[in-house]
Amino acid sequence: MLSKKQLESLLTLAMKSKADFAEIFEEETKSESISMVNDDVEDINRTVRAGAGIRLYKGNSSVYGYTNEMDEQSLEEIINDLRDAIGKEEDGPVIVLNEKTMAENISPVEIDPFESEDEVKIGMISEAIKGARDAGEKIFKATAGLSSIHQEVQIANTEGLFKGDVRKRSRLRVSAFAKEGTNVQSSGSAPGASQGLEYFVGEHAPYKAGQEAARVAQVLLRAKKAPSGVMPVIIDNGFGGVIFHESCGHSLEATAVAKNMSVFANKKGEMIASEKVTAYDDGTMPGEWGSQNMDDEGNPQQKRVLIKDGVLTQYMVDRLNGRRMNTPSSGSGRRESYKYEPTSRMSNTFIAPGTDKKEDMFKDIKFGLYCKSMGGGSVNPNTGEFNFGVNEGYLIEDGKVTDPVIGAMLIGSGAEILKNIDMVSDNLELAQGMCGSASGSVPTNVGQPAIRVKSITVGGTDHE
Amino acid sequence: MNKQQWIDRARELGIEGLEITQVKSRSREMNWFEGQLDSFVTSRVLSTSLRALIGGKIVSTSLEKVEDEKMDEVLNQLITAAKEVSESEKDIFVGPMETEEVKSTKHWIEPDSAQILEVLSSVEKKLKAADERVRMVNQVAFESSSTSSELTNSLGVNVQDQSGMQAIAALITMVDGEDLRDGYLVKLIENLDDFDQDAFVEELIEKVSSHLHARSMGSVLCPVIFNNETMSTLFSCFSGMFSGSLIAKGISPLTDKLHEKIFSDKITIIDDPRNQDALFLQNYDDEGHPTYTKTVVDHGVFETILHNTKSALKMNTESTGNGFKSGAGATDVSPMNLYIQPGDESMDQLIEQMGNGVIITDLGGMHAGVDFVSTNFSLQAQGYLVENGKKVRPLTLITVAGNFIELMNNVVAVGNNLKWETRNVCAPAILFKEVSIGGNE
Repeated sequence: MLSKKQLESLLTLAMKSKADFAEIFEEETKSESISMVNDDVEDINRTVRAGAGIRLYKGNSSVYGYTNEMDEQSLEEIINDLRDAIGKEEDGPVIVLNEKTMAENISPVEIDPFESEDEVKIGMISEAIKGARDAGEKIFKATAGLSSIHQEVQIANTEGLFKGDVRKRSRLRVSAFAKEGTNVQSSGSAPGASQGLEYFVGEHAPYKAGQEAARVAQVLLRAKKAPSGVMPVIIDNGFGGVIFHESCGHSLEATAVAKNMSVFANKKGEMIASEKVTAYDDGTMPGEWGSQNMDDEGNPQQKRVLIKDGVLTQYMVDRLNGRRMNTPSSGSGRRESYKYEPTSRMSNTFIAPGTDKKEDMFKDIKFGLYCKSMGGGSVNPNTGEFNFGVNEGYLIEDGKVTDPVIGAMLIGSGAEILKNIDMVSDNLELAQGMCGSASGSVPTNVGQPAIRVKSITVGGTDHE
Repeated sequence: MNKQQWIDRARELGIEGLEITQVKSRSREMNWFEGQLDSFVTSRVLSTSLRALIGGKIVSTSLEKVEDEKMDEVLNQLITAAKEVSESEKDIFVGPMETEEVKSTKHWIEPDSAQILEVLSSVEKKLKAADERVRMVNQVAFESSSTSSELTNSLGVNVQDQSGMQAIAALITMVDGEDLRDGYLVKLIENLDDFDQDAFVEELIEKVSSHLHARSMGSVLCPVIFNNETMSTLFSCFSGMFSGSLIAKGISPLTDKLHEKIFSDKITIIDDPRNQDALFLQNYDDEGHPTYTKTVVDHGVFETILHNTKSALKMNTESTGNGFKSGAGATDVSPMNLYIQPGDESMDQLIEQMGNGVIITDLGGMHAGVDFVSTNFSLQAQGYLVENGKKVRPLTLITVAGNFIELMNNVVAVGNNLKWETRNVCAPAILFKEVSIGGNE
């Protein structure tokens, strides 16, 4: 890692320009993944990512350079390119940094995967595979893997900030493949946390993850074609929260809001959702997958109330977009690695529990869809049009859950869908995902209790 | 990095084979917004990956920080990892192989910053002036990158490949009454002097304005044309089905289907890593194996499984030169410039032939709505409603769903308009007999 003196000298060089602010983000990241197919260890892959990203601001515009050539000459060359782009000057302020402090660790790791024997990790992966294969004779194959990451970062800026942080995360992935005649289906499960191997016990035990993947793959074998058209939909808890993430979350990021490219820009204080909806983005939850000790600009993570009883209360804001919006950062500046400029991103984003009971949601539905688990989705924040895929879905007929269905996608416009939520139950659960956007792929939790949407477009293939 | 020293040391430690790949990449990106340079990004990154054959096992690592003095630490870590890997391999590395290298006919002429800024500013002004419904020019950007790679192995292979690209992209928002639509356009630019700004502006305005006042439609099973962009997107979601690695694992939907008829006889699929129309031309794959052109599907019959050395060994055959790195270190099987052979009919002829149906021009939700194993898909879409052989109105918030293999057996006609741009999996527009459309009207 660069020393305080080196960072001061590089930042001082950067400021010999029209820039009014400069920042250096440096990281050294180890990652490891072990993967298995049935009983065979297929691959053990270890990588090291190490480099720095340097960002200069002038008003609302920015220049960014990144490299892994960490000798002083290469770094100075990059900074000189940036000075040229922003406007070079002969003089500038001399930058003095505070003493380096480490961010307080809210997610301590008990069993560090990088200090554990491969045998132990392979044992855990084998358990996941066993869980899947024990689930039934229709399961003809299972694949699983364990990925761990250890990211050390330091961030220094021309306001004197000099902070360090260590982030550790682990995630298990298992896929089960089921076959009946020529019908082949698959499903996966992937629990993860900002924790070490100690996370994978109890409800997160590898065996259970394998069982769950296999259960869904077998349900899909007997699934009928999904219906097509407009209908009421009940979306269960956990990964169902992807509906909020796509329909609303991305459109509340300053990335879209600051330049007026969001359906929810200039709507603070307005009713944008049903009064049953209160939603949070909370990066401070100890041990959670989307949590951080500090964001990737050195600001403390926060618990943000995005929507309170249907009213838009807060956006997620990074430092640069904060300038445009004339508001301070909300600690939401995140990036995949030094190869990305940070921008505002979600952390652990979820709809708060309500008071409805899940069992009451089905009663008055004559024909609808029950989405027990969801796949991912995507959104265009500008138009608010979004989609997300249903992984495990069932028909609701005359108030009862009936046949499983396959191949459904839900689409809609965010502004409408949030107002269409007419019931929110009390069984909040979070689930892990990787969220891709302008600053790369970052770990985020989605979450919600079971919710009911009065009407939404379902795209299936059944036209009976 | 002293490569010879690493190879020699690996041999001393009992490592049977070592392969070192170094990729040097450079990039530059300039974004223009509201009359000024909004952001500028420059980068230089050198990444190194190692693959080793140890005790008959293959292990790999990738490093962005290589220190010769840490050679033993890295090599010993590979030796430890190899003890846990179950699959045995042999002859995984190839020695030098003869091939006639082709050179790309693309010549990227790097413009200076002043010229780029002038073009970006001018395109923004033209977009704003082109149509009063343009509410915002969200971004006009110039992007360039160059990559050079060098592969060295302990059997004496030393091959190099180079690639580059330059592009102009713009994203605009148009508003008419209450209706808001946005859209973007990317064009590869070999020489900025030859860039036709007016044609670019016209194409983007047409692309977005033609979707203004789009709305959904009723759910229906009807004839559908996927245009060349959306057909390429859909095809690329399933292009892994030809991979020997997935076929050997029994996960590909084409397992045990070699030499069987899998698609309509109107479908011929070629993998051509040396195609001059495609953006990237590769003389060698990432294992140092020379690439060549092959017919993967011939008039509907599955004729060639794509292989790297590992999958070829598993299936008792030869590599097809399709060993490309998917991520860090490990080499997987992937197509390189895979395309569906174009037919004779123009887009207008396809539309006329369809009569009544839907044209799909945009797809969304590929990472959620595509199931590779069952080949089912259900995707968010935009497009046009066609009646009596004419486009009658734009469509949005519809879904298009089906099963890819069934779809490819349901082909009425294949268009003549292949458009590579930045793709390495490509298809012309195709008219299908019937596809499921979902909507809310």
